[in-house]
Amino acid sequence: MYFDFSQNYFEVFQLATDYVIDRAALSDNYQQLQSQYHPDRFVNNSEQDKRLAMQITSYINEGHKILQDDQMRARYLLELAEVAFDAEKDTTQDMDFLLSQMALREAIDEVDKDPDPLTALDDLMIKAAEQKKQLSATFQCSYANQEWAQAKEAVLKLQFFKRLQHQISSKQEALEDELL
Amino acid sequence: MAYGEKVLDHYENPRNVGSLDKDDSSVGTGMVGAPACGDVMKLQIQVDQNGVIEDAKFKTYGCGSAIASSSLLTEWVKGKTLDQASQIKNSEIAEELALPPVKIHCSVLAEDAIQAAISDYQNKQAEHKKSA
Repeated sequence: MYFDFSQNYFEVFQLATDYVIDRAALSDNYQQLQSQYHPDRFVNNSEQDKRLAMQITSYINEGHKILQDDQMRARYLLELAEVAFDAEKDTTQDMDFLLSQMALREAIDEVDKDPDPLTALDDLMIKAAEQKKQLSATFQCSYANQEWAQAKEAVLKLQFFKRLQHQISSKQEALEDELL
Repeated sequence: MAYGEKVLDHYENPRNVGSLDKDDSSVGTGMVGAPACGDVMKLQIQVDQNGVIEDAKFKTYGCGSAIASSSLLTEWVKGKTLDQASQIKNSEIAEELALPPVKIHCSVLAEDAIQAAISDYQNKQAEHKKSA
């Protein structure tokens, strides 16, 4: 059993190291690698092989998780380009952006007053998705031009949308539970 | 994750939640976001003629530690001068709330928010003088 751990995740899945990816190829190659290295296949092998199969599988899983998520993939690309992230110190102070984020979060709270809260949430989700798409386009463009500061800012802003979409989904689930 | 007692207290009974009129010239508004978690924090101060913070309000969409940090900070800055308020360090907030290392960024956010609110107020005052 051989596996080259020096490959980056794009290389593992035989994809070009880029923001735009072939999702079908990612999914196909993931399944293929999964079955190739699945620890169940090595139950009769040496302890060393078993350990190695586990390590390979977790590397593949982690890579798949990162590549299939737009924000994580963008961030990973910047990390490969040696752009540093500091969770403690990176803050966003773009007033307009934060005001719109605040407004979107307030809108989630206010759907309770809406006669049709689920539709109101769907509308919010669409709105968030559109804005996120614009940010993705900004990232793609900055990344291609190696404008690292702008690219990093887009990645950081995408994180807010991830959180927002998560909040909208939780609210949807809570409302659906109430309706049952 | 287990939250400390003080964090829980501020989280369950947040002080000074709300908004001040951001267009009022005696109000400074600070907005900051923590990309690490996607938290958004708005902190506002109302300043009297002597440069003393009379009132402070916050609105935070974030985790318990972010809410507690901003709640605590609004309590601390009331009655302080702008100068005194600008000297509050995130480490003091983190220490008071006993924040674990992974939540330190929440206190950084609060410090950034008060700094942003103070500079917004000062910019407004400078504009005011110019137009007067």
